[in-house]
Amino acid sequence: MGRARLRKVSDRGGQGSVPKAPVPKGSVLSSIAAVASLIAALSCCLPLGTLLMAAGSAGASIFSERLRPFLLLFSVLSLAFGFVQTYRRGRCEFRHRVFRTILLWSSAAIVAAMLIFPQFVAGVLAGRFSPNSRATVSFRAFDLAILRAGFNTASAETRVIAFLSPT
Amino acid sequence: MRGASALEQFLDTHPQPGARVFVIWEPVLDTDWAEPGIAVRSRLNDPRVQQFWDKQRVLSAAFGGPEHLGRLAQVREIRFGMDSVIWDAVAVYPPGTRWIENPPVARFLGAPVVDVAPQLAPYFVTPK
Repeated sequence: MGRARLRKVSDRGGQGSVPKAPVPKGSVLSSIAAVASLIAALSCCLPLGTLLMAAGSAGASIFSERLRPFLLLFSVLSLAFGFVQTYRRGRCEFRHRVFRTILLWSSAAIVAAMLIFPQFVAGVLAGRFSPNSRATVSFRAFDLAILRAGFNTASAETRVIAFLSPT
Repeated sequence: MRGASALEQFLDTHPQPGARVFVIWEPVLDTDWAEPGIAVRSRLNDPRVQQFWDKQRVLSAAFGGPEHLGRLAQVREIRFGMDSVIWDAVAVYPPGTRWIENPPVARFLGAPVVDVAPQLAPYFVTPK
């Protein structure tokens, strides 16, 4: 399955690209240091953060099509990390173990739902899933001849063809 | 899915009966594993809409793919690059246009749908 990559360019005659200012090396290093300290904190003192990141990034993936694969991968990795922390490593005790376990499995359920039923979850979150809508939606497998026939049958009307991705 | 919502919103505000909308769902993104479910399809529940699942992206190929976008419409408003398939796009054909063999030339072709949906308004006029 090929992937159409988004490139925000205008079809109306090259606006040119905006020159980027050089990134100071100090900023890069401080960013890396911040991420490293965050990981260190998550690995020991803040196990809940890992789980919240897993669920949060999975949820965010619904609203960002471009970042979805990366966010879902990140959430799976965060979740795996959370499981390792909870069941394999006892280095940092967390007092509210029951709460943490519930949160861990809740996060796992959210991430699994995003992975297995992304459209359903998106529809539920968008508030558009209702039994009444089933009756009004006309849907079938694509057939060029059928589309063409439908197009010509409605030749007295304005017709619109829209190409859309399900997610 | 923002395109579907934008299209439905446009149809909600333009209830003129003299229009037909063909929505072609096609796998484009890595997460497009299956045909759109009920929740997604119900985003477009206007009775003027007919929806299709084009798993093999036949229509995009029949249109010649993104490299032929320039020939597909008289007026074009394409705001992103499409690599291998026509998607997140909408084409408008005025009354009288017929599709004989090759796809007809649209009056307007725009993408992404969420941005260009308002530009469909001039083509949704109440028949006299």
